[in-house]
This record gives sequence, C-alpha cells and structure tokens, in this order.
Amino acid sequence: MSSEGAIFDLDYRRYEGERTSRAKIRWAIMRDGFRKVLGLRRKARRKILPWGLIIIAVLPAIAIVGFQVFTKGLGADELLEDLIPGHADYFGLTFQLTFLFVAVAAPELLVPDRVSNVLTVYASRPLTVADYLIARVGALLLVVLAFTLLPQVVIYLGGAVLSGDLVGHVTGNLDLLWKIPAGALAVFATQAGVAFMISTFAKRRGAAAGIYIAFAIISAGVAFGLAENVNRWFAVIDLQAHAIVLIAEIFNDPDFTGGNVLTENGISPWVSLLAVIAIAAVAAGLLYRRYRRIM
Amino acid sequence: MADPIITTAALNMSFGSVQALQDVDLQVPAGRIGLVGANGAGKSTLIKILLGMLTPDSGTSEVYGTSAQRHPLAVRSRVGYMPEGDCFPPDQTAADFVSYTAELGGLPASESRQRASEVLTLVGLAEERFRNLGEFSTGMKQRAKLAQAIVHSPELVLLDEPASGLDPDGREDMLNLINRLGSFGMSVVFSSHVLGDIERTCDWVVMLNEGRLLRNEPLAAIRASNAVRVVLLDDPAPAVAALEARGATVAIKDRMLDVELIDGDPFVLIRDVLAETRVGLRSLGSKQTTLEDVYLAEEEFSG
Repeated sequence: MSSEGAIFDLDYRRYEGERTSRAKIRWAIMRDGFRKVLGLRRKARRKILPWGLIIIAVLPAIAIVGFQVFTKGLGADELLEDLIPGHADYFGLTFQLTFLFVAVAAPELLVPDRVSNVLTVYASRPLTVADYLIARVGALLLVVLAFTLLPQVVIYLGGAVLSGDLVGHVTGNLDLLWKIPAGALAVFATQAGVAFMISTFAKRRGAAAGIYIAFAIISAGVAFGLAENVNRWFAVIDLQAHAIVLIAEIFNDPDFTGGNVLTENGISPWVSLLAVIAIAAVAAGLLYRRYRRIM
Repeated sequence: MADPIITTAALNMSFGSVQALQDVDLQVPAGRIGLVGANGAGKSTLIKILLGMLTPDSGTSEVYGTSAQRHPLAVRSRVGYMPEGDCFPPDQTAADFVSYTAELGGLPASESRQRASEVLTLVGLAEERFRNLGEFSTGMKQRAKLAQAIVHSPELVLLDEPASGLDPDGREDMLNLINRLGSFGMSVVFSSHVLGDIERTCDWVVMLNEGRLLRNEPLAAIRASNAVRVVLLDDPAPAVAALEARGATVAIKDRMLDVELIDGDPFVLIRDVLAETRVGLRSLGSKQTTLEDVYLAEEEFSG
C-alpha cells in the first residue's frame, strides 16, 4: 500500500461543448413532467396514487386476456366472444379512471412549479413561456396516452397471440392502430384543457384535483337538468359526455353512448368535436396569458 | 474601460406609482461587480431587466452586446441567475434538480449529471446531494441556488442577495465561494444591501438609491480619499478655525475632524495648526473611506 496520498481539488470545469437545441430543452421539461406525474425519482408515497390507478386500469385487461385463454382452452371462445369487452368498451371501462388520473396529473405538472417559485429558474434559462407550456402539455399527453393505451395494448397483443396468427390479427385489425390512439387523444383533449385551466390558478394540487372533479360532476348534473327542463343545447355543458360521443364515433359503436346526455338530446357528434377544440383553444389562450404574466 | 459586459441607457421602469429605475445609464466591465443599495433601491429590477425577465418602460439594456429585450434567450444562454427567494421543488434531490437545470441551460443530459455532481461538490453539498431540497437548511439552499446558477457554465452570474438569511459562518463561506467564481472565468454581479460584503468581494461598484444611479466606478476609486482623520483631546474650535483660515475643509463630529486640503500636505498643515493653537492630539491618520460613508454621503446629497 502506498504511504503517499494526495488531494485533488477538481475545481470548476467549464463546459466547452455544443449547447443543445430548444427542442432538447423542451424534451427535458417534458421528461421531468413525466417523472413528476408518475412519482419517478421521488419518494415511494408519491408513486402510490399514479401507479395504483395504472394497476387498476391494466388489471381488467390482463383478466380479459386470461379469460380468453381460459375459454379457448375449453373450446368455448367463439361462443363467449360477445361477452368479452372490445377496445371501445375498454375505453368506457377505464374512462372514470382516466378522468381521475388527469385530475391528479395536471395539477402535479403546474402547481408545484408555480407555488415553489421554480418558474424563476425556468425564466432565467434560454426558453420561452410557450416552450415551458408546450412541454408540460406534452408531458400530460404522454402519460395520459400511456395510461389509456397500456391496457389496450395488452388486449390487442393478447388477442393477436391467442389468434395463433399474429400477422393475420394485425392485418385484420389495422384500423385499431389509429382508432385506439385517436380514442385516447379524444379523452385527453376533453379532460386536459379544464384540468390545466384549474391548475393554473390553484395553490394546492389536492385543491385543484378536487375542484376539477367537482366541476365535472356538477357540470354533468347541470347539463342533464337544464337539457331536460330548459333547452336541449344545455347538454353541451357536460364535457365528459363529449369524449364518450367521440369514442363512439371513432369506433363506430352507437351502443357505447347509451344514456349519454348529448346523444339523448340529439346533439351531433360534430358539436362534440367543436366543443373539444374550443375548450383546448380557450385553455391554451388562458394558460399562455397567465404564464406570460407570472414567468 | 475594456469592452463592457453590461450596458444600459436611459433605463426606466415603474410598477404602478413606484419608480423602480430612473434613467439608469451604466457601463460595467468584466469582473466582480457589486450592486449596492437599500431594499427597494431597484437592484432586483435591474437584474431581471438584464435577464429579459422584465421589459423596461423605456431605455435599453445589453449584456455582452446583445439586447436583453430583443434577444433574451441569447442573453440567458450566457448568464446564470441566483434568485433571492426559494426556487426549489421540495420533493426533488439536489443532484436531480441541479442536473435538470443544467439541461435547461443547454447541456446534454449525460454531461448534466456529471456537472451537477461536480458543482454540488464545489459548493460544499457533496454529502447532501441525494437529499430532498425540502429538507435543506437556509444555508444549504443558498449553496444549491448558487450551484444551479453556475452549473451550465455561464460567462456571467447574477446573484441576487446571495448571503441573505445566512449565519456568520454561512455568510463567510458564501463570500469565499463568490470570490472563487472569478477564477473560474466568470464575471459576477453580486447584489446586496450589506456594504461590507461588497467591499470584501467586488472590484467594481454600482450604487443605486430609489432607482437612481449614484455611483458606477471601481471600488478602489470610491475608497480613495485625501482626507486626514484627526482626534483631539481638547476643544477643537480653535484648531478648526485655524485650519479653515488656511484653506482646509473640515468636517467635525465631537472631537473628531476629517480634514481635506486641495493644495499642500494636510499632515504638515495639521502639525503646524496644533502647535500654534496648543490643542492636544489623540490620534492622526489617513481616513479610510468605506462604502457606507460614500453611500450615506450620496444619499444625503441626493436628498
């Protein structure tokens, strides 16, 4: 063993390499948002809620595939085919879970940065308000897509493997490759706008989630009551109903909208599409205006 | 002056009825620059304008020759900023957050992780870098804030009250760190209302009061003084009269006199006057002008 030791003061090493583009910086913010929402690189208790919801959303899909394996083993798969939920049905099954997931995720992306004054750090870096907001919205889109697509992928792959003809299953269901992401996008577009608008002003994550949930429940009740008693066009107030209508249109499955306030009042699916676009536009404008002021 | 790194011209900024900056014209060279002024003097406003975070009502500001108003992103890519208040997500570790801010400054992800570790070691947080920022003490938070300000290798660092809220040991460490930044090839703008801190760390002083620029010059020029400080044992009146009769300017506080003479040696004059008037002498020496003297004098002068 050497008896001589030395202490090296590494001092400060300047970075002389290339600087990354703004697109890379946006990606870094998006990745940070993704981690925030899922509680990655955070303490265990921050993971409970998001991962709990993900597990609850995926478990039925695994059960469905398991059931398919079981019925195939019994040779009763074709007999029981109608009992097994399809992709559109699964959107309905996980719709309220996605709603809860967005209620938790959107405030997580905006509230802490604002309340803890981290926005000052963003404002001192070479990025714009739009860069920050686009990256945060992108992060929510990414997690909501992952949340809604994961069980759909389980069902899709399960079906493909069980069919015994992987290529045949894929080519026979090519339309699902756009319908499933489009359905997930419809859910995201309907829910994210309002959730972000509330998160822009709330001082606590829990409060933002609570207000969003309360808003959705109350707006559905108000829409139903006013459409029944005053004018059918009040049905458009029920924002969640628009997502159901759009999914039904995408999957061409009219049964999916059973009991939907919009369908029952004869509101066209095009109105739902316009309503979703309008919410997204208003939310984007409000967010930008608010963050221009505070960032 | 060599090429200035900061230039402002006729800078005006107001918040409602409060005039935060009034016609501020600045040219500041590279180095360690002290931004001095009482609370509300306009220091933070000036820093935020230089970063392009605030748009002035009128006037221009440039950092390294680039307009902070027209090209704020270009300015920010060369500048680091340590805000006065907290700016941390409490549920993130120091290593994760500083690494993330390096990426926000334009460093690749792989390099950011390595540099965050190095910079946190430099500011004395090597042991604590995997602790959540919410568990940090005030002193540790100040160090972490400095780390995020320098992690992306800026050429200029704007430090807004970096020693605020620190105990004497913490303050000492922070001032030593700021002193070291110059040797890393960084210029520093150090805002503080504690004049002694500026005197210890800076070589150029920008002095603001109620949004107006009082001084903008090297610290050495501010401290230079021709005055002689005399402390007398007896009634100073006869000596003062004799000094003034021979053209000296005398400022009196009890038995302490500050004597300035434009032509001639003030020490010789004082020796002669004291001998003539037979006034007893306790002490005699060159007067050390402090920033505090200058600040108080300027404040009194400006009203």
